[in-house]
Amino acid sequence: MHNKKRIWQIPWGYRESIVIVLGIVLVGFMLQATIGKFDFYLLSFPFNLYFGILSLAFIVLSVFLKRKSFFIWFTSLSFSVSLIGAITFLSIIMGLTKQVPIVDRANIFTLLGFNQMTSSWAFVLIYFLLLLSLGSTIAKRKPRLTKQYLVFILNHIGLWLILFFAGLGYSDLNRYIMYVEIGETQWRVYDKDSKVVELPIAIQLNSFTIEQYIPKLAVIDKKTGEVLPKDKPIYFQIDTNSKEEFSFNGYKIRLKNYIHNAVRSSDSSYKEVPMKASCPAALVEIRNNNKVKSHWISAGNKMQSPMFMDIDSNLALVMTPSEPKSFISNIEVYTQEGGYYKEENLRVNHPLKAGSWRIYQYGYDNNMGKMSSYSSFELVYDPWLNMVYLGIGLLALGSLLLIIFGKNYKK
Amino acid sequence: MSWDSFIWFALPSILLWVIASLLVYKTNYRLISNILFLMGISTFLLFIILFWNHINRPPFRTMGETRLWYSFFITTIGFITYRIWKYKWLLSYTALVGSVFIIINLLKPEIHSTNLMPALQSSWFIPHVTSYILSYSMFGASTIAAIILLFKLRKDKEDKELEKLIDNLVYVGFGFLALGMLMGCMWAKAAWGNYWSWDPKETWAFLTITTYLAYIHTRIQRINIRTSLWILIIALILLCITWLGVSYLPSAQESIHVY
Repeated sequence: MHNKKRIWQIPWGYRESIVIVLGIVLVGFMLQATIGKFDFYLLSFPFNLYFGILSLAFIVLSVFLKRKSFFIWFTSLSFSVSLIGAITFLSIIMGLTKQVPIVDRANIFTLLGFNQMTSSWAFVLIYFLLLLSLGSTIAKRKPRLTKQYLVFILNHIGLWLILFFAGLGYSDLNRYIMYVEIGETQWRVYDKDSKVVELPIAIQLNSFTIEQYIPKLAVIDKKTGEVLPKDKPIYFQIDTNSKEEFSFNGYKIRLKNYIHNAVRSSDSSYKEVPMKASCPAALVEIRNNNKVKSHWISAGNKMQSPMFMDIDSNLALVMTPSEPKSFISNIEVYTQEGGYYKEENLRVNHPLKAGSWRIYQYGYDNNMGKMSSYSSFELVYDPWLNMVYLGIGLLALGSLLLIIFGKNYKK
Repeated sequence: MSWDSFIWFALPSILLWVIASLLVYKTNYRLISNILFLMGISTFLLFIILFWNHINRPPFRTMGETRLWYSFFITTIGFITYRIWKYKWLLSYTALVGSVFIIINLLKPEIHSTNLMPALQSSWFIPHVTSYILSYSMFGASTIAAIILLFKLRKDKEDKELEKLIDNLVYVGFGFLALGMLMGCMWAKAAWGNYWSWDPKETWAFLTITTYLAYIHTRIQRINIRTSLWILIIALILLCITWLGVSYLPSAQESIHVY
């Protein structure tokens, strides 16, 4: 069919779509090389609103002009597939090139924006073209009470909402890091350029606790400190419920006692003291040819020195430092408008929602570990988030229907 | 049940699947074949349950554990799809791929016990990974079918039923892929405050999904099916890079998805 038709002869198909899309990508590359990357802050409020309204106006216009050959092509599968192909192509470049926040214009790749693909002109142009084409395609299709239409509309509107609000809302999204000392209230934060900013929201940190995993045992070379065997280090998980022994070079190592919150009580023993400066300690027994010896070992922390156990002149048994299981802040939040929020268990994966703000547990003083005197939070302001979630919800529903219905064939 | 006992569940499962996938071609033994296949799945599932119980956390963390689920889901979904579409080869294929992942696990377990870091402790973990494994299983099967169809087309043999099977497998696989990705977004939002951050693994997952999107849209048009089938093969290659290859890419050394 295509072969009989000359290029640019109406109706346009793949050849025209591919040429146009390639042309736009090239224009994008040229813009990038001449005026630099696309500045998303050009699209900050209210300009993103104007741009959004313009996009919607274009989509509405496309419905009235849907019989014009331009819009027939603009909402055609050939054009959609070509745009999908272009965004895939640009993503492959992005997937193969290390993405960096700041580039010095050194070579042809950085000149074309390969290292900052999502803010390169080519990517942005294709993205917005996709948004317009997708929007017009949705608007053109006549609503019907059929499975096909339901699947189509859920998936396409869902995707459109995500692309629209994630893309245009990007410049309204702000992220800050706040450090709060235990017992204090803070409203000063660091922005993405590490500048101090005052926010209309304050956090009071009531307490901060870290839960740690039960550590492991390992045998090290006393000279080098390396965990043995060198090529495949063995870590033995302490497990108070298990009678399992740890064997190493004929030595049998057995756990006799374990204290999770231990403080050294004499030169060679530990007792349980539930305080911040405590650390795990274990009493272990080593057997070798009827020789038996026991010793307390501990990885220690900032306040307590570590304790290891000599196995022989070359080997020693050590405990690994505890890995954090969770770190939890007890906070109260006040906003300038008089809002009040409270969360006793703010931890990773469990943020607190405070209006358009979301507060995430971010970190603590890694050097001090359990004894950290502060907790840090990431505050994200994202006014368009709910619209993106709506898109995600619709798309998820559409995906579920794809799984249930498969592809519908006409009988 | 620790990982050491894996072989005592793995080998019987493989044996049951192999016998079942051979017997399925004999008309009189089809019921026995189905029963044996299900017994293989049950044996394997039993190990997963006992192992899960032993390690006291969901076995979704290491490469070895991911393969455990891959073997389980590809055989389970393969069996269901075989029951729906009655393609005998699908059962054999399923047995083969399920077994390959078991054998890799036996030879190279990659099961070092690691404590889950806080960001990974999420209720999104299991559905996110499971959904991806399901989609990978579907796409694996659809690609095999696509290759078979390409050979048939070369001999000028059309097979409309096989075309339908491929399309349905891709639609189902795409549904799972999209769900897995969306759940990943929700998880990332809760853990890092970003639903999408163009992490290298995310970039590759994105371009994989757009390639399947291209397949689906070219299939709605009446263009040469061979082109679409080739897109499907390329998509699977991209899928494999996303799954296995990203960790090795220089562009991805700081990815949060390296495990």
